[in-house]
Amino acid sequence: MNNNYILSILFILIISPVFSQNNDAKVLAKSNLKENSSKKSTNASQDVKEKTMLPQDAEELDNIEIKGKSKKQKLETKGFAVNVIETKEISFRNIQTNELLNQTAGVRVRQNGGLGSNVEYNLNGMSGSSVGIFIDGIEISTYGSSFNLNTIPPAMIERIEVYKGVLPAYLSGDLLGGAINVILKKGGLRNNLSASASYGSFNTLQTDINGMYRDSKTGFTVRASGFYSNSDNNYEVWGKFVTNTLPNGRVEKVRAKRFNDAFRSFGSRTELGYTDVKWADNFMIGYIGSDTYKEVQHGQYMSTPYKGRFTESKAHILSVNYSKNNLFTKGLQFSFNGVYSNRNQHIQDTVKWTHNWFGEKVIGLHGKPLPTLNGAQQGRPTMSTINRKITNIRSDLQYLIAKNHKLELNHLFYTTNREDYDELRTVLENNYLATSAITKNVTSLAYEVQAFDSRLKANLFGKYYQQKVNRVDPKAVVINGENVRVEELTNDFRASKGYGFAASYAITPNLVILGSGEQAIKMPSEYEVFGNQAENLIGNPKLRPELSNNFNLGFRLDSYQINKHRFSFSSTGFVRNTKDKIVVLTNDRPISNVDTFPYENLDATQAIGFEAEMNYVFDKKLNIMLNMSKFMSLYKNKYSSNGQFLSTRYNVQLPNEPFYTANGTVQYTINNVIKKKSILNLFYYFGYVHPFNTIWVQSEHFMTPSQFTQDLGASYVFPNKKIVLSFDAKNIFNREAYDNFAVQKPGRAFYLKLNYTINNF
Amino acid sequence: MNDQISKFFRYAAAITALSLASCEKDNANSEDTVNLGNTDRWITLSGAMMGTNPGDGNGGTMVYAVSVADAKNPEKSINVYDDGFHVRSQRTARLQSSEDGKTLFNIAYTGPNGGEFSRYTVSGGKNMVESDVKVNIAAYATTAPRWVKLFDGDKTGVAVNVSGVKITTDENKKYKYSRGLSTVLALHLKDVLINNFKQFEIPLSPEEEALGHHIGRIDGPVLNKAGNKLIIGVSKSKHDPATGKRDVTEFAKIGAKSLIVDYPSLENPTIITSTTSFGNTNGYRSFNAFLGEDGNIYQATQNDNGGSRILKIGANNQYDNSYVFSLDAALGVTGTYIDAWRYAGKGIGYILYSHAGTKDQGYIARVDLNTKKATLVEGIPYDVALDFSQYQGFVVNGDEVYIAVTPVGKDGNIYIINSKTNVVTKGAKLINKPGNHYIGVF
Repeated sequence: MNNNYILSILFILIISPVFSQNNDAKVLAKSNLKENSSKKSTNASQDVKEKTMLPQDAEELDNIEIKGKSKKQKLETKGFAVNVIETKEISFRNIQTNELLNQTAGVRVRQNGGLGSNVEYNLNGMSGSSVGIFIDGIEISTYGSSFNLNTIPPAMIERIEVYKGVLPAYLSGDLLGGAINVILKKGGLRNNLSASASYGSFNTLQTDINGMYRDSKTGFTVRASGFYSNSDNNYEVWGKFVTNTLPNGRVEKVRAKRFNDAFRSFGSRTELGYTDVKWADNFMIGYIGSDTYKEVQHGQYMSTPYKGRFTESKAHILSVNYSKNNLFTKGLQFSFNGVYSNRNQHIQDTVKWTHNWFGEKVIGLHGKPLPTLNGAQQGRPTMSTINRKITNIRSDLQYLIAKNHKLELNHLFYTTNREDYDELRTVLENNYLATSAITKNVTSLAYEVQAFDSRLKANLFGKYYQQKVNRVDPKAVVINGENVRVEELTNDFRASKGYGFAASYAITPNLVILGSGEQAIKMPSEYEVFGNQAENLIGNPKLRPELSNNFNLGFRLDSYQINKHRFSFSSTGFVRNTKDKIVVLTNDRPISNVDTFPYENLDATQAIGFEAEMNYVFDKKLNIMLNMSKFMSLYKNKYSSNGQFLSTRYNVQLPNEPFYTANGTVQYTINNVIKKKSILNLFYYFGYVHPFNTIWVQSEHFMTPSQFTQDLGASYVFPNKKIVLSFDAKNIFNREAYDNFAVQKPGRAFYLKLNYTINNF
Repeated sequence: MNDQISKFFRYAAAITALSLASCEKDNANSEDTVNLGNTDRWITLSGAMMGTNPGDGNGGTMVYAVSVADAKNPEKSINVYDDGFHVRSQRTARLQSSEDGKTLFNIAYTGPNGGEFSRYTVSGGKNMVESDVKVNIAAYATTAPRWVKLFDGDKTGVAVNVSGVKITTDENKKYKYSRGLSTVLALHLKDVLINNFKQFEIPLSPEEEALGHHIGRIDGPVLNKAGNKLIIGVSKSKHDPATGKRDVTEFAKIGAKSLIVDYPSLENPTIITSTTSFGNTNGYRSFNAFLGEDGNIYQATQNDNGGSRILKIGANNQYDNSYVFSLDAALGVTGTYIDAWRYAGKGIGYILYSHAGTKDQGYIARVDLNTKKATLVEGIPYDVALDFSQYQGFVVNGDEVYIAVTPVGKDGNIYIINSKTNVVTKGAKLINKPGNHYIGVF
């Protein structure tokens, strides 16, 4: 372990190499994302561009051609299949980070209920933990369930990069479905302070404050942010599985409000250090503390509502970040992120009575309340605690060998120790609970080249994965007639290689062709191996690593302009051939505890499909965006182990995967409403999800119906540009919206938000 | 001489012909005639789709109904997978049918509607009309209840379940016993209501409990002749008292057991134990015990020492340990395992079983409960892929017993066995799909 540690520090990183090399590309900036790109001339590798202007703050910039691409465009034309979501504008609205992701082409957010409930991401047919979620390049599991995309407000986020399939080397890890990388606000070099508060339906309150101070003489920098959110999530549900059972067993369909789904979360992030000084571009030591309380309304299905089951998560996280360009020698760039996290999760379920959807005790045939069959809501009574200690070290070294040739070496070291304890189990059982530790090393080497006047950009990479799982299984052995507790150690070590490429070629400055391909490995993650009781997930120690061959081919047509009309269009086709795909299936085996999901390996699967996104802007006032994603995610194992043809599964769509989705947004900007220099933005959104089956057999009953939801919103920027007020109405027609296994999502809801920003104090 | 001989034969032939002709007439009223039962009823076939592995049957259940004439016609083909109706159950449906074949009953097994009882009116083909009222017994018996119909004129279904097996320790924190909550619930099949239910924690003997033995499952309820007791099959499990985990070592099995409760009150649970068997008595997906005309209950065992047995429970509701019927001994094979069976009347039953050395291949035997004889039924194509471990449904219509015989992934047929003569007739062809098999006739 020490060796690994030293190795990881020695290893070199190449981060964001390409961003810095596009200075000469001349492209019109996107009109609605006007940003004042004050770039540093010295290959501003850490992306210290300032994007501090308010949205649509465009008056002075009219018709100015900005040289250089936005971060968004640069990333999106690099060869990887990536969407970059700018959160700047959205952060003024009543939109959660997860909602924002859900509106993005090819991204499906799978959430098991209201705000704060368990989330999984599906990127064009890849899902579960094969999709990496990162915060500033560090895997989100490091931070725990109290600091994740459910709790981090968009205001703390600079941008979100969604990579589908092939990942750049700097997003280190054993991932193969793609990744969502959340870049937290760095605040640029300008002092600023902003705060917002949002309140709306279901007693949902969300507040956040962000600030940054930098002493321009010494480079001393302080960044701090905090958030508090709570919601009762008591929205009405009426889907087909929302039923109450009468004493005689008769089933009655009901409309009811969720009564055990409340969510409360708060957290803060503080960083101290130096930026833009001689010895470091960025050196920060930080602390993140967070605490989340979440009630659990039901298990896998909505059929049985729970009362009193909840989870509480806490995390204390220390981090060190260092980055320096031209370290020791020109062209050598080093960055280091080390995070130590102490996570604690408590799950409690002790209510012994069954409850109906009205939150009342179910009365049995003999007129008495019915106790639950296992003693608590989901299973046996539990007051269980899971402690995890996680160390995550990422080092990256990049070297510019010559102009347009760059090497990157990246290393990830990850280790987690997990201990479980349940107060309600007997001493006997707690004594014989297994403990576990996972250690992971991933090394990546990448070579990046630009040629033909930077029209061709190519990135070749190889990755080496290692994972070690230690499991201690206590057993009783009879020695001299006495039972003796003996610890049986299981060591499981696996190593694999992966490789790939990403390339783009600009036929014209506006038309770029992109392609990428890789062979990638994903090791079973800690929670896949050991389960997560809080989220109704059962571990499976027998899981094998998942292996995938991913290919993407697409094009982008950027900012094509005719008079006042401006278009952009992009489309990508993809193929993912996955062996031993790790999936959550409906639990049809264990008899005792059927409300939980097990993880399984699917021998062979294939996702093949495409996504497309189109943007139309008229006169910087009207902005229409449409995107869609359609794919087939098929089971490809033809024969069983005994050689029989698997007729009912082969080439059948995998259950519980939305495979056809579309989103649209319309934004219209009116200047000088009520007051001069004010800006009013009007928004419309629709989302469509095609029906999908939740079991293997085609069956009307197990089909999640088609969903079409529409939102409206408005935001008003006051003339002084310090205050933004916004209002959002979601699911305005109160349509049934579903997710995982027909879990119903909120109906009509209203939110109001006030933002206050001070720059340059 | 030749003439005489030929004359003799001619007379003999004539007499024989006459007597045969008269026999036919006479026999129409005699006991030996074939009782064809109800020839207007529906015969519903059910097929289980594979889940993850061929033959596991976990991928759901399809049904399709035909007339008796079609079911008996080997020229007809039935394909439940392409033409049938998907019974609303995520995993294998656990079907029961009314005695006249007009109604199918199902309790969904697991899934979002697990525990939901539904009733379908059979109208031929895939046409199954679901009744608009439903009952859900999940709150009483989990989303994975096990149930069968009583032979009481289609009035009652009984669902049973054991859940929440937990370990209790003594004051020294040492293992004391493991017990779960047993539920017995009676369903009113016509009104679609719960009639009654009772729940109890049932202890085994203190000696058995100290060793970690406990009741793991209950299933296969049967009503006694007096109609005042339910006899319910029991599957035993064992924890290792040292660790509280499931005992995976070779341990001495304890005697086969049944749970007895009063009927219809479902009260006074007691355990009876056999001294001749060490198996489980819960069966798997269907009936496992039947009431004979003699007032005794005949109960099959599984996972028994030395192969499956048939046990007798007398009218006194106690095991008759003088009755010893070992299938191994009767068939002259070892390691028999009764997957499913059906009593056909007059001491005759048909058993679907496998035995050691044949990799779970399924066979059908005719058993005579009175003589304790068992013989392999000839005339059925026994294929290595024939697997009855999921088998659920037999139709007994008059003297005829209908069984669906399809090896996993291969086409097969309905076979109609005359329980009196043991004559086997091949019926309609059953079209199969890879990995699937037919698991019942209702």
